[in-house]
Amino acid sequence: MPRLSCWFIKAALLHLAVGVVMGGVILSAKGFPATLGWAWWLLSAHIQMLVGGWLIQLALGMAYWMLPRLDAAGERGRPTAARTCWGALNTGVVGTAIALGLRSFVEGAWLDGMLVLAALLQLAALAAFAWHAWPRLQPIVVPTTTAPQRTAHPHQRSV
Amino acid sequence: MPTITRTFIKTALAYALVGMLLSTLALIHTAVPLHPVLGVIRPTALHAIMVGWLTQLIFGVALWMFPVWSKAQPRGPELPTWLCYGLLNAGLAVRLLAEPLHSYRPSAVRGALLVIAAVLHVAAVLLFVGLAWRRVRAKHGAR
Repeated sequence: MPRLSCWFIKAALLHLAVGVVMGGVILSAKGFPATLGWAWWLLSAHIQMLVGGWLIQLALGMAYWMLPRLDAAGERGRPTAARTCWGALNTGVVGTAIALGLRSFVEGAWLDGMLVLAALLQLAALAAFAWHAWPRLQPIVVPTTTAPQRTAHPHQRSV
Repeated sequence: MPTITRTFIKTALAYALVGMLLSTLALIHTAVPLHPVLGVIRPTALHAIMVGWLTQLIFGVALWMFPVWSKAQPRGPELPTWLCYGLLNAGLAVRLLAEPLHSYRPSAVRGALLVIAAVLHVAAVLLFVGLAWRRVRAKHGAR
């Protein structure tokens, strides 16, 4: 597993742990609304952390690991874009979760600004990952010299 | 494919069916009223799909595909892995029963069941995070 996939997947696991603890408190609040009713302000952060921080981030980490590599040396192509994605996604998800949570208590232009910035960071993260992954999305090349009985599809590139 | 992975994935498939069935019933109920419980079942249906199907599928595949724990125990220690499976599914089952019933007709017992479901969910996920954390590591020399 490449180092960057480890970053993605470990960050995803942390988001999962925090998001599920939030979800557990919210579910308990359903049972005892009088004592735990305050927990509903966690709902937006819970969704944000589990969808953006866990599911999407895990998928990106696995994709960085599993997508076809560019050459025999194992080049994954545009690693700076993938690293940028990791930084922007985590900053964006955490920023959005904090901003959405705080908006239940306080109002302010700075909070709106933080939310917009965090949302744009998540968008930029996905764009950076797409930029990284695009050249890696190519058809499988069948090495005809080592497998003479199998013929390559006419649209596949030769080695 | 290891037994624990097959068990996770088969259970995930069952939850996909349950989640879709509940969602379908909830949608039909909006057009043709069937039973008042179906009016409050959407959060349960959503979690049957997101936790029961998607998260459980991920757990099963991750236990299979992640780098090995050790040569002697490639998938990690068996007992905590099965415990994770048991806690997650016990939590889901309790939630599946208690959540719609509590939303429809609240009671202290159903409320307590929701807290138990929450504790089971959290315990299962923290256990999985602990098991997966050690297996997420770079190959020596990997970039």
